[in-house]
Amino acid sequence: MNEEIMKRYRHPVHRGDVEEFSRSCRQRQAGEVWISEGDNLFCGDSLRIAYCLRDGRIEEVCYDGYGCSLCIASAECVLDLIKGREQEDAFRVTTEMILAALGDVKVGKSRMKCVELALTVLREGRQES
Amino acid sequence: MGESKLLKSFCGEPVIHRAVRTACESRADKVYVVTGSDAGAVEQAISDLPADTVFHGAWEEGQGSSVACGVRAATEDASARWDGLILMVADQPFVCREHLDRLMSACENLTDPGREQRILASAEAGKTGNPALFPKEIFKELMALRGDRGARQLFNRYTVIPVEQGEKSLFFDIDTPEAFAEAELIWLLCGRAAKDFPLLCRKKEENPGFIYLDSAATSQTTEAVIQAVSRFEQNSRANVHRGFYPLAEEADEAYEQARAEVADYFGIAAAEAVFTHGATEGLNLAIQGWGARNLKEGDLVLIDTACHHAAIVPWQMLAQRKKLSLRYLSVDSDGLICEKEWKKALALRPKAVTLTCISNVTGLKNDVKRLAAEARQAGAAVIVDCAQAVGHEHIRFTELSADFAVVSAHKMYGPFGIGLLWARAGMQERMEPLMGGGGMIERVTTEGTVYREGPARYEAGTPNITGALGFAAACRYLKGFSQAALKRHTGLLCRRLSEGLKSIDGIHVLGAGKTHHGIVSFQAEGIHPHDMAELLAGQGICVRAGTHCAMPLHQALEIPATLRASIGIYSSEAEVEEMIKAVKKVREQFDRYE
Repeated sequence: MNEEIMKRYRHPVHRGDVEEFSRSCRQRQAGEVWISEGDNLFCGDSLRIAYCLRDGRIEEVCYDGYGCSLCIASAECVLDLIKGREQEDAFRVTTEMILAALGDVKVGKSRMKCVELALTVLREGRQES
Repeated sequence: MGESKLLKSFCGEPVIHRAVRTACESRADKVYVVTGSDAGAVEQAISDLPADTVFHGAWEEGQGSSVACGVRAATEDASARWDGLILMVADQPFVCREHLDRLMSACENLTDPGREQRILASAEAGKTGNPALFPKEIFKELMALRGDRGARQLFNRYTVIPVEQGEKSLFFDIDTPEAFAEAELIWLLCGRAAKDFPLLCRKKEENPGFIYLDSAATSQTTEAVIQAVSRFEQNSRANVHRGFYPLAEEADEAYEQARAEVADYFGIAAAEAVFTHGATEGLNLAIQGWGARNLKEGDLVLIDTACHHAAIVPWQMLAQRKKLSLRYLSVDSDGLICEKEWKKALALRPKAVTLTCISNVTGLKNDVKRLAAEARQAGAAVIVDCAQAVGHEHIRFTELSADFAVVSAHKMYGPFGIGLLWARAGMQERMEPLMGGGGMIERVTTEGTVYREGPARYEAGTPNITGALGFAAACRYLKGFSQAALKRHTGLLCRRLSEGLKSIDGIHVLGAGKTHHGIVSFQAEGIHPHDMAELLAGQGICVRAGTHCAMPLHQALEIPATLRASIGIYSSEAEVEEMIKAVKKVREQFDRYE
């Protein structure tokens, strides 16, 4: 078992409740809240990602959902990587960067979708009205 | 059991053929087969094997006289002089080549004086018996045997060296119907059927820990199926229903013979057997082919929520075109159709009902015969997906009370790309073909086309000829097993798997406590099925994780995904125990990260 993946999976830093996150950001007037969701129903994975934009930068992040260790660990990496970046810059995060953050883990073709889900979800984000 | 026992199929092979083949495959230089009352039939049954048959006219005198006859033939054989011979009986199905070779090696390793007076007898758990090796010095005594007392009486007169064979069931014979059935079950539970599957033989040689528990996705295929395909390609390859030369007629005959065999296996007439590319195409043909012509706007269709996508998506496609009303039958916490909901839905007079025989997720079985009969009584046409049932039981379509049934060959040890759609008499004619082209027409002009009658109408284009032959070979293979043994094998393994998994902390088996038919799916708290599957794969175990093309069922059960283990005819008790151990190990690995 890959230690880095298991560490991020079992001790997540950014996992929370997206609705609660959104409510809190609005209450504190912390910035623009962007939310997106997506799934890979073939294997039963689904993620929601939310972040708070302040002065064009992603200042706070959160996700919830269900996924395998690779999916969740990748979501943790994605949120680590986008925090503090400008939004446009955040969309330049790549699968290769995620795999590197996971310790250059080798992932088979059939599980690449698990790695990519968080990125796919992120890129479909819309601003909460 | 009588003489016919020798010709009866034991786990896919006639008893006598198995015994003689075993002897021929050993290091023995020659094999003599002593025949008696059914000499002609026995000779026919073993005609493909390089063994000499010796007819014993006085076979009624008993085993001793038969032994004497055989030994006499061997000693009188001018082509050879034997240092020893092994006596074996035909009705010990667990004797294999290695046992015979071990006797010969033990004999070769005897170097002390007096070795020529020793009998080497197979041994297991303190008992000795056949097969046994007798040195040439004892031939004279063997030839003097009379009556019913066999060579065992010589054990008292000579030193017997036991040769441990390491086979628990070595001395199990099949003298009575009960013993025969028990032996078949033991054979299956030990995983002996795996020898019929080349991939399993190869994989287990590479990695003894390799365990294939994904037969619900696809079963492995037998040497016999592979040979049937290969033989056609090498000897009879031509297109069917097109040529007039001998090779083409040979191909025609082979293809239609395959259709007849497959139809017969499912208890239907060849004219009711439409070859398809698999259960998915069969379902599309029944739903969109029959439905398009016979249903109209507003007609109600009932669908078992637990159905495979192949039984759901075609209905959604048709419903959109024809504005049908689809109602999904709600399921209980085990994924079986709710009885109350069923009665309510039937009262609405549906025009069509789609049922699944065995869920490809839970492995549980609906009472399809009753449900189908009730649906037809309510005026509905009934389509039954039998894809998961066929690897574990011998389904006869006409007993289902349905109008259509579908299967895939690759789920019953046959090749990919071929399946069967059965349509009850009178229903086939009411289907529209989904594909048009060659082979399914009587006449084509620029004005229009007249279709052929019969199954060919739904088999446009060059069919999967080798697939059909392989399908027939798979049917023949399954026919060689008693249904009782297959059912008991499936039942015992699934029960053990279900109970074993349930006993592990945090493991929830779907349909726990119910009878599973070849499939056991489960969830592990805190462990995603993908992770479980990958870690099991690391231990050599092949299982499937995800929604198994049954998303509506998972949604109804409010489960995101499951891990599915599914057995085949080649699965053994030992493999099930290893699976349970492996899941426990994964649980422990994950718990380390708490």
